[in-house]
Amino acid sequence: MTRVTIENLPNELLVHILGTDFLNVRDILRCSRINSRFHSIVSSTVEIQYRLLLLQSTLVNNDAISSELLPLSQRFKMLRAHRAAIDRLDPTRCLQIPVGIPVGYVPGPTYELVDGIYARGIHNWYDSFFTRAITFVILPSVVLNIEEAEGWTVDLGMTIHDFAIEPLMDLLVVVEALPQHLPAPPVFPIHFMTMREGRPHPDARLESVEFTVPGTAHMVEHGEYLFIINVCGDLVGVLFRPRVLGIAHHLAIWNWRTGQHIWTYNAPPPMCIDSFAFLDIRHILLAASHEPLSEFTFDVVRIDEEPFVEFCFHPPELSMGLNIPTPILRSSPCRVPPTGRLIAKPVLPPPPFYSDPAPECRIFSLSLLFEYGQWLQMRAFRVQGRRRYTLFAPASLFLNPAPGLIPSTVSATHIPWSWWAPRTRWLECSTDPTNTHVCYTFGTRHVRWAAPTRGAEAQSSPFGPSPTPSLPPSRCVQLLTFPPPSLPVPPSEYVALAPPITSFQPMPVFAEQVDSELPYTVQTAGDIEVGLEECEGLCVDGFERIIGLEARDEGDEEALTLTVCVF
Amino acid sequence: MSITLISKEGAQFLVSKPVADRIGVVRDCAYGADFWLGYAVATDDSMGITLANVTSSILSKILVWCEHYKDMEPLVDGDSNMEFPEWDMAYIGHDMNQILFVLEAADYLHIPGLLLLACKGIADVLDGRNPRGICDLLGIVMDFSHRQEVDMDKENGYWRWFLHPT
Repeated sequence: MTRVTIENLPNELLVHILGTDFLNVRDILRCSRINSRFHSIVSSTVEIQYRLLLLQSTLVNNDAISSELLPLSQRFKMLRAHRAAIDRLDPTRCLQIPVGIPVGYVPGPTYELVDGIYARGIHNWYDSFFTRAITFVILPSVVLNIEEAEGWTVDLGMTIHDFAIEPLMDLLVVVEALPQHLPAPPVFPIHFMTMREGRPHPDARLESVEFTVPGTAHMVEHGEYLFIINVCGDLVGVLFRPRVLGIAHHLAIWNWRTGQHIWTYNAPPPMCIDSFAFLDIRHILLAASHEPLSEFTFDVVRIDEEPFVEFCFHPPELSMGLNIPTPILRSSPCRVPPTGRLIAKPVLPPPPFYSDPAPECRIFSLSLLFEYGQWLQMRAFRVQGRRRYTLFAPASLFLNPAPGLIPSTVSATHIPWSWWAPRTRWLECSTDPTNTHVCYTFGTRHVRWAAPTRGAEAQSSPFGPSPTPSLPPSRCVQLLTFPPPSLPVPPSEYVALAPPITSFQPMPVFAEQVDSELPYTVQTAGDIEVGLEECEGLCVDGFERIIGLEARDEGDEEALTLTVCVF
Repeated sequence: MSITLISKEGAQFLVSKPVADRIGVVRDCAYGADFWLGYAVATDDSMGITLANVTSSILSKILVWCEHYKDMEPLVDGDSNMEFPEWDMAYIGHDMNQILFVLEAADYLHIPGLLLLACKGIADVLDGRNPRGICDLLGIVMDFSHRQEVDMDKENGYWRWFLHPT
């Protein structure tokens, strides 16, 4: 038998071998280093390059759109142009989008921004502060080929406290504001509706579920509770967080399709739950404080049949003169398709590619505030200085902090700070404006306002002297990209915990950092230049847009416009 | 009904219709003509179909696969998570030379399922080997200069996270 070598094969067959999904990226890259022929095949085959670029951008191809309808070459072209724009922070389009609010209504305090859909709660100008209707705006998109913004308003027919949207399932979750009849405890009905029409959702077996605040007989004031609503597949979680001290915090989770109540966690004072997020369809992450008061942990709770705390991530052991209030937890939303088929149609057309939902690719940001000062008579803490750090960690760190470590089902497994802190990334955010409602992290990208940094930024630990108050520098938009998800931890690292660190030196390590000093400006109808820097909030949404919120036109207090930069 | 296939060396293989159906070229030759001409050309035993690029040993190996899949649908579209049946993996083996022959023949004969299996076989052999190891295995000469290698390192700067995790 004669000997064939791989070199005798025609190019099409080599493309076929390299282009199958059986070779992982590392093997493809290795093959491209064999010789110039393989190198040219790898670098000139669109399918392979598209795969590499998707992986580099932590995106996945949408297989639901057939390649006949949208060829891979076209997707590759689109993705490459999109990457080139976002890597240089050079938007394809910048525009101002007025939010069409019906006559007689004024914008309220609640809004949501998911997948390029902006939803704003509005109420009658003469009415109370309760939201009565919601105005939706679909923002333009390059990837979805949406040229013009499209808006509509849904009248809810009731007053609500807060709402959440999930365009994938056309789902609108609202927490109704019901008048309370003493001495009955307050009741919060939670309705599942459609975003398009505001009718009861066709896939929800129950139109609404109810949460009765246990053990409370006092009159609940408006604004006493802050609501945090998260949706993940079939699950809806609502956190009832009082704004005043001395009232219990409650977290309740339902399956919105069956109406089944899954879990309620009550945190009586002095305990509190600051925020929560879905890690996946079985786990939630809680930022909660426990006794003693100053001690908080990040708890990973499994919400299967019998909910229990799987892992407890501990804060650093505090040295004298250091205090850490309960941190703020932000997450790239855990978006999972619902189980089974839905009657409701998604609000947006399917994208050619979307963010990788793998836990390694969903970065959570935890905002930690280090307060240093003095303890007065062991009780009161006098703050002399503050430093805010944002800690970034992928969901996989919380789901499986130490590979090989089997979580105990009877008691929580405690993860010390010295083990998990070095596995996260840090960013000093003391000077950043804090807008607690806005999520800046999406997928593996973080966007923020920052002072332009040239060269190494002087890093100092929170244990150091208090920062001198400086004038707010001219701001620029900064885009930080995380390194790609790391490879599986080798078995040698299993369970053997890292040596404890004695001093905390935050080391921001990012794969890429792009500063854009261009403030993106847009010409409005009245020939006024409006820039992103005039906006109150900045938001990164999907992987496509940077949105300046609430840039108000001079002279017209009621008008609401968004400054949108599409990449 | 059966069909005679003739290998490169002239050896004759008598195969039944379901087996021959797995081979795209034979199917087109034998039954496709039916569609165009109104009658089947090669259904008659006396005429054989000559497969000039396939040796007897490889053709017999391929017919084993066709025989196995005469009643089942093989995988024709795979992703990295898809598992081939054990029988397939044992069939394709780890002999690179053999796999390449099968791959070439599967391409020539239009057998998508077998082509995919051969690609999987090659991927398994290449898995985890460094470029030099692949060259040694396949007898390929590396033709990059040191300069080019440095350039490629730079060009793939991002990929170092994948190749050499910190």
